[in-house]
Amino acid sequence: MNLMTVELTLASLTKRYGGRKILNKLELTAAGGEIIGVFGPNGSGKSTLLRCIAGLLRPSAGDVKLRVNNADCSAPALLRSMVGYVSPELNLYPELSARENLQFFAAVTSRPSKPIPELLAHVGLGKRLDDPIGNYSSGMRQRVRLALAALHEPAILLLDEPGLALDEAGQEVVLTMIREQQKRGGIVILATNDQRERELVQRHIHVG
Amino acid sequence: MWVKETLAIAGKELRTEWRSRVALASLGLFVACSIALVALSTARIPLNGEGGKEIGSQIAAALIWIQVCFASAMGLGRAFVVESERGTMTALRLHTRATAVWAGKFIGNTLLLLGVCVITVPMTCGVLGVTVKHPFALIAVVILAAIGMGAVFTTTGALVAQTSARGGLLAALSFPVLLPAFVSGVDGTLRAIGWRLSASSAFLDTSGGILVQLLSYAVLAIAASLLLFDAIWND
Repeated sequence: MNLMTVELTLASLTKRYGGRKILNKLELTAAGGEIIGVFGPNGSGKSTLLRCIAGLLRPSAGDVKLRVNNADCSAPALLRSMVGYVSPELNLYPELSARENLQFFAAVTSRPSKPIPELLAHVGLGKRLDDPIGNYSSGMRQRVRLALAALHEPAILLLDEPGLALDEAGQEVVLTMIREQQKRGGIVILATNDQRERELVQRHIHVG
Repeated sequence: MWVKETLAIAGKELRTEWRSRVALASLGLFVACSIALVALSTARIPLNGEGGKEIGSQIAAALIWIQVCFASAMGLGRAFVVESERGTMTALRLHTRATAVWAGKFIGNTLLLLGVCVITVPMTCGVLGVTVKHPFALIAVVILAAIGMGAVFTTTGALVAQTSARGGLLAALSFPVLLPAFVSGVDGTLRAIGWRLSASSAFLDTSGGILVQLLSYAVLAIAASLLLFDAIWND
């Protein structure tokens, strides 16, 4: 997707689970090319924040607003289609191969997608793209998640512990992906405890 | 585009099911056991003669729909639960439109249900020695009822996937909604078999209303599900 302008605004974003307030009136404005870190201890609500931004969780109060190329993309369904999301809780179909999984997600989305073999080669899975994902190691599954997040060239890349289970080469893939997203004018929101990833962060929000 | 998305989801449903055989195994076992039990339990009942044939027809019509109902509850209700348990729901929600997901899963579920019917209907009739006088009418009854039931089980399965009390809730939610389809299905099956109809009676003349009822039920179930599913999926 050709990104001219991207602008993400979190306005008084609040999320409660029962009586417990996880996110409390968070404010953020981010523009294309920015890398925003989300920091906080375990259980502080980093993943909850990313899920709210992705349109997967409805905030208890406040708004997530996204404008892409001067068009309002804040409706949850539209917002979800603009997001590339990597999270340990996101799984793919274990009976299908990496290629079949990505072909499926390319087929169900109206937006153009990158060539799949090229994308899988980019994350280091060029030789195992036809093996069922159920036979993959956790690091290889994480690489497929990265490929899926990049499939539609998203306006916002939401990365929740993207280096999880990855070896040195895999972590390099994550860093490259973040830099590429920044270069093409997209926003990166990164929840991580990895020092190399943190070094790319330009500013951060603290939760918890 | 919507049709392409829907077909991709239906294809994925059938492909993952074929490779994992989770629902196929439980459905196959249930169908094989129920037919074997019917054969054993009715072996000593004299089903020949006019009176016996009438009893056989009634038993066949009831058993077919009991088998289809339980098989559906075991296999179809899990379409969304499996996505939720395996953590694939997040990826699906990010990339797909709600109505395309429903329609894709509905097609997969209905094809699975029709597969169950292809085995249970002839085998139950065969075991009970029932001759079907209006086979095309029976096929129409089964297809229309399966479409309606597939729609209801797909939607209730999606509702149940969002909760923790899954097993009991699926039956409690589905049964009252499915009751009209079962009543018409049993009635239509009896009439297609030829119960209390002379051999020369045309099915449509005497029982066409049942097909209209089943068709209306299927259309209503699909329309209501499509209207409701957006809220289920996005909340």
